[in-house]
Amino acid sequence: MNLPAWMASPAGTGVDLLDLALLVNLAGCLDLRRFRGSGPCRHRCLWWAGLSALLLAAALLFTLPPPSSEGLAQPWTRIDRVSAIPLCVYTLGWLMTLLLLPARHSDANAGSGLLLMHAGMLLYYGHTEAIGMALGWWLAALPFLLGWFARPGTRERSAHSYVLAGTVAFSLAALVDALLPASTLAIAAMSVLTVLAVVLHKGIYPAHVLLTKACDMGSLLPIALFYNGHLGALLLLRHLNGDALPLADWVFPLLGGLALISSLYVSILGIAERRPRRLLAYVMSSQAAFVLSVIAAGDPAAGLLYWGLVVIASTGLVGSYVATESRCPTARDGVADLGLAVRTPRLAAMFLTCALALVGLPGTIGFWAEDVLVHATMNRSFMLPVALLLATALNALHLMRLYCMLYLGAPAARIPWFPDLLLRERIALGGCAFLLVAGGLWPKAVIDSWPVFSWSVQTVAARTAGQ
Amino acid sequence: MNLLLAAMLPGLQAAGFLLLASLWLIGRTPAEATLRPFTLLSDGTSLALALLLFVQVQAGLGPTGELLVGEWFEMHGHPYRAWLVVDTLSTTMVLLTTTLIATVRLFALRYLHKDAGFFRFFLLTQLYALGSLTVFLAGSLDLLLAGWELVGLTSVLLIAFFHQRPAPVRNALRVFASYRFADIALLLAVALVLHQGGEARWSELDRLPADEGALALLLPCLLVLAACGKSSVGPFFGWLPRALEGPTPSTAVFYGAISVHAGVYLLIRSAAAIAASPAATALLFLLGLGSALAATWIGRAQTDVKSALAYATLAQLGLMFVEVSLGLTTLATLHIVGHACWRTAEFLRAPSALRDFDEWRNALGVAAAHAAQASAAASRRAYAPALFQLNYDACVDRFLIAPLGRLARALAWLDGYLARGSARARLGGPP
Repeated sequence: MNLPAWMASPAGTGVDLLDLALLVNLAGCLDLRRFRGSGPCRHRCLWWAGLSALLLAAALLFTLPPPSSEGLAQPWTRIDRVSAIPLCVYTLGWLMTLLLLPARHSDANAGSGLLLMHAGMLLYYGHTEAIGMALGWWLAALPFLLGWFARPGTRERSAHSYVLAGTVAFSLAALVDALLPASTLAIAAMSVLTVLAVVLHKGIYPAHVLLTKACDMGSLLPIALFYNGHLGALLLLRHLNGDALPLADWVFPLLGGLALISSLYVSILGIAERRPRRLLAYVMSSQAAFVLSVIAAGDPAAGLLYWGLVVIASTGLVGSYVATESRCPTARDGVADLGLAVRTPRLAAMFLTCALALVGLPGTIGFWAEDVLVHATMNRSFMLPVALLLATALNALHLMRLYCMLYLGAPAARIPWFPDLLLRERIALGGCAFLLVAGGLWPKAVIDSWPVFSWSVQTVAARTAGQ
Repeated sequence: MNLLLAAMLPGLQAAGFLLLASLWLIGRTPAEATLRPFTLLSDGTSLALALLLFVQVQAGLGPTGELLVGEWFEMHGHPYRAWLVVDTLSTTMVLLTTTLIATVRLFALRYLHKDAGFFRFFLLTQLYALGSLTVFLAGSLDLLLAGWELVGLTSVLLIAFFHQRPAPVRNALRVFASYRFADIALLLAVALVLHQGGEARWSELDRLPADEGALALLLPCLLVLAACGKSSVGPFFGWLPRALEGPTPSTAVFYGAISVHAGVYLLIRSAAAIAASPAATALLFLLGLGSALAATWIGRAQTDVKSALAYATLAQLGLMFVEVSLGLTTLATLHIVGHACWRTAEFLRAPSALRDFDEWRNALGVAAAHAAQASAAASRRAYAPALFQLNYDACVDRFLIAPLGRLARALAWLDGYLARGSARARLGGPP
């Protein structure tokens, strides 16, 4: 039996490092499943994750093709210059999530779920064909659908069910691509299904309701990680690069417009909200919608820069909130100012740094990302940057309000003593802050000197110009 | 030499801030005894460098004007470069900034002795010094924006310095909102200039309006709006009195000296671009004059020293706006220097106001004090509106914040329908 085209190896190089990383994640997942119900197993999970990250780093360092080539083909998956940066950034976010997961949630279920999710993402990022990407999407969504992140006896699993709709929509699009000949009708069907999948995954209006509900009721860190995979944005980049699905011309303007409206809509919605989890969901979806708007506006360079910012800053932001909530569960209600800065000043500082970086604090990569974003969208229309800046200003206000609610005010006497940042949290949040500040002080190191970045940007920009 | 000196000034502050912040993050918070020599050394060095730079420029030694430090990065062939400007205006402002920051921090070493927030104050003022020096040395609008936002952020964090009380936190949020919405104007101005293919340098800013019709109107208006936000003038009139919740030293250096004058500095720098647009000039004149008159009126009815000083500052800032609109930029610069020094001294003396008043009454006699009160009694009809700050806050609440809140609640209600979740049940019905 012959392998399908997407699995065949043009180069015939055998198993490569990226495949190995994927297999390590799957093996780690199976290994951790053996320890269900036996309490926290963070160390075992970190061991597998470290091995996988090392293999991935080696894959990125040793198997990247020269700038002139189209990517290095391997038996199953390949790192090309479109997926290299998103994959790097996503893996960093994944490692931080593993470290930031509170002790009471770091059991075998959650650990195996995170390993399986990363395996799925590797598959998704490493494929240029729709069927392979759909398989990756399913694998990444599986832990949510099986309820691995949900605590027993809660309604968390039902909150995660929206993930299924996006996955099914994209799988149908991939099936149409694989089974039907490329006709106008097939392309229209694929376009509709793709728009549906992107809207559902990115929590774009009206799907923001589902994302907010999931964040409010479900496990915040895994949801943020899945969300930060930016599966929809990568799909658009793949399409611009001539891979994945053929899409109709109206897909980009429609998604760009929806993303813009959604970012403004949810930022206004945040005004009436006091519950921290919902506020975080609003801000995250509003800021992440910029990635889609700017890619749809024809500037993948600005989109990729903002992509990196959103993944790192929102992981740090959500991580510091989860660390706060695990210390002080009443934080979840958002009914009163808690004054936690007196007890956890470093956690408060990390929260503030990540929050403000997300909305363009000078001295962080967020400042340059915002600058480039405004510059890029100005090329399309004057109203576009005005709307984006209004949404950013509102989001900044929400985050500052959240900071005041959680960390400022008179400390409540009934809240017991708890420690400031733990070692693992220091490593993860310190890493976040370091990346954000280093990127702000030396943006050239991130943007210019990284040939991967310049190559993918040039290629995609050229294709966009061609369209 | 001049470029090196100019780059070292914010560089030293940045290094100092990063050092202090890193020590704190790893749990080695410097004690008061360590922080004292560090502050003296840091401020002394900055002051010496600023003085040297000022002398160099006045003596005509070394290059002046816009100097290139390096390139941040390049995207789509468009370079994002770091330009510094070294001329009489920038070096004067830098000398003023370093002098006043050093004075205020020296004052704070005693004033905040053994205060729980001692380290936090010095960490934030270090960041503030970095921000304000960046504003005054920036050779382009985008670098100015970086310093501008840092100044705003530190200002907000220092307003919420005594965060155990609800009022400072509430006021800090209000000031943050004013800053963020005013900064949109500056960001748009930067984007507009970059969109024209320029680098947003001061020299390019002067040339731009002559070429483009719409740009000639929009750009100066955006700059005026941004300056209004920073200086609490015009539509952003109400935040300055709210900002006085912070410790006295930070109040002096932010709202008496440097921060509020940054808006006037921006106007002086872009005076040529504004002068080219009659509409922007008229807007600047009216906003400045209106703010000066309103602040004088309201200031008369204030019952506490700090609020009276805040409105007096606002009146002077309004006058500076008027001076710039009339093309009197040198006068405006002199006005900034004189006003900043005078007002800093006044704010620092504010906690001793009662004692000062007693001494003054003892020296002049009771009659003089009564005479001053009699003039206030004569204008009783004007007293009530002044006491309520011309209903500025009520208007903002009623016409801006309340409609936005209603809109947000209506959208939340709509979301409740979409989600069939808790929102509809919680809100009960449409607002």
